[in-house]
Amino acid sequence: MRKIFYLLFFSLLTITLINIPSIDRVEASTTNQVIRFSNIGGGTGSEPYLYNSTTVEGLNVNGKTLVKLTDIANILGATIYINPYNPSEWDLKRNGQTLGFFVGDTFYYYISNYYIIDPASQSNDYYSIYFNGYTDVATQTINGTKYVRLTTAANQIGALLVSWNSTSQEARVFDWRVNGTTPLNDNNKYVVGGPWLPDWSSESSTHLSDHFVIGEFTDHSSSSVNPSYYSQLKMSVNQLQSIENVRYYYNNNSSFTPTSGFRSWYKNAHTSGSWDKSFHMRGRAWDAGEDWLYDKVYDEFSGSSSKPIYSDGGFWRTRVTNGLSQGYEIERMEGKSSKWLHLQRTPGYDEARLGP
Amino acid sequence: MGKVITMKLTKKIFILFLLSTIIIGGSIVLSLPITAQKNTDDPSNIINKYLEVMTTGNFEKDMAFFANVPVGMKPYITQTYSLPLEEAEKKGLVQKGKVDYVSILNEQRDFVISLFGEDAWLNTEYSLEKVNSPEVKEQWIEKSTKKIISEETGLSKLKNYWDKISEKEGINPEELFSHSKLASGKITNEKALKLKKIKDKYQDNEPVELQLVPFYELYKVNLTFNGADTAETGESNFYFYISNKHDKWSMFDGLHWNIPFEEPTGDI
Repeated sequence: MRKIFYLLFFSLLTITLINIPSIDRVEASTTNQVIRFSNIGGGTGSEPYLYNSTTVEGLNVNGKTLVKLTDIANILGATIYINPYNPSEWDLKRNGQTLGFFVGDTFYYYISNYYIIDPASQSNDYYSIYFNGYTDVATQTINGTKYVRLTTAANQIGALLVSWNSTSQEARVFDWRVNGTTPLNDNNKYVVGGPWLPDWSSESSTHLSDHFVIGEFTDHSSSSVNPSYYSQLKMSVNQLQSIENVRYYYNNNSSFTPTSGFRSWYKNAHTSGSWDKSFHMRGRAWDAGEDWLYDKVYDEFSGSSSKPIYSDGGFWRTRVTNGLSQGYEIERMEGKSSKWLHLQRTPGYDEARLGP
Repeated sequence: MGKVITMKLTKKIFILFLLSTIIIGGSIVLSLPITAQKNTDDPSNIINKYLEVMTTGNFEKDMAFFANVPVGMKPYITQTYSLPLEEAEKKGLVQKGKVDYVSILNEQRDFVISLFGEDAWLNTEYSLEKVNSPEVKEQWIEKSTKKIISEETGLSKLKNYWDKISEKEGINPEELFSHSKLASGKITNEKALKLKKIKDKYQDNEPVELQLVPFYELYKVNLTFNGADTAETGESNFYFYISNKHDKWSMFDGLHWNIPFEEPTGDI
């Protein structure tokens, strides 16, 4: 009799415990952390204004912020790929780039594969830009959920800035593809890097195309002013193709150096006359200082007319399709004492006022 | 003697019964409100409560309503303090402060009044826009059947696919997924180029894919004040978010809006 009642009691106790809502059990040193993802709303402050932002719940593990792999992929328009030959490898893929993390390891690697059409031979030159490094917190599974280091993942997949806002106590990721909870499309392929990569400075001579190297497109800030983003890079492969074309067709196949490629948020905010949503911060513009390059591309854009198309935002838009430069917009230079070529490709200003 | 044993046993049974009742009863009581709110809770309740709180401005009294919810935008953005996250972490600044909810909510309230008039919060209308939740879960799908499969099955099918491709192309499949240190720049190595081309050729036809699917409901609550969604100074699209992430409808993110867009004159 007594045995039956003990059995009944422990059965009821077990059922009750099962039915109590499960409580996530996390390590003692772990706390929740709001992570806000936002598009770039402009401004010149220590971070951009918020625009179409959304939040997720991340974790603070021993003072370092981690984000769910699923959340960062979902909001930044990336996909997740698990290596079938090594399921402990979790890849984030976006815009032609692969960023690979390994469970229980701080190691990560980055690859951007693309090709450039050699204007001289019209053959495809294949490029593979590879970096690897170590995060300060291992990639890990917590309560069955995949977590990666927020700064490494966001910076290296191509976000503009990852900041800490003390007023709202939020970690913030600013990226051109953020659009609330449904990311904007961007068909460009990019190459991304920055001072968070080991030996980044020694990568400056690595060729991104036949005649241009990483150092010619990186942010030109001083490391003392901007220690986290001073040599940041994000450049679209289309822009690399255009600069090779302009060099070959309009500069007699001779060398020239771009005066501006990618600009970090901080550099752009301190560049007098810059637009606070500049295409330089999107990796979709480069400048070259020579007057004649501007004039030649202007003539190409004009086609059979006297001028290119007058576009909003201070740009001239091309009248021709398949022009040799493959450019779409250049900055208007009327009234300026000296000219320079600022070249953008599609999507242009009207299509991407606030997008990638 | 027999009577004493029976009494002791009856007492034990009674205690056990009492304990079981307390545990089960407590469990039921704890779970009841969640179940009830899940079935009967209406998103409009939480929206009306938000509007009421913003109208009265008694934020200290209603602080529980905003507990653990991102507070939304601060109207005077130049007064917010920010630095790169990694620098903040190195300096030990992360999670060391507190959000001044009352101050920011007051600023938001006053900001709307300054743009739309004294009675702006009294004359507010809203529309609901259902959006995907920002937080998602993984789901493996067999592309041909659209059937949901387990991660184990997905990875197995993926491996079989690349094993067959590798056999057909005469390569070692693991080389396709190698992450060993590669030289950056133009690919001049014939084998590396071949592997890259094989991967490009076949990867779009993989039989399975890992999808990301929302797992709770989220509504963007779009607001108009005195019938206007845009202020004369250009601020527009005022909204906040509510969700049922925690099994009942609650605030998800505070008030946001778009700051005025200024056309550039160029892009130096």
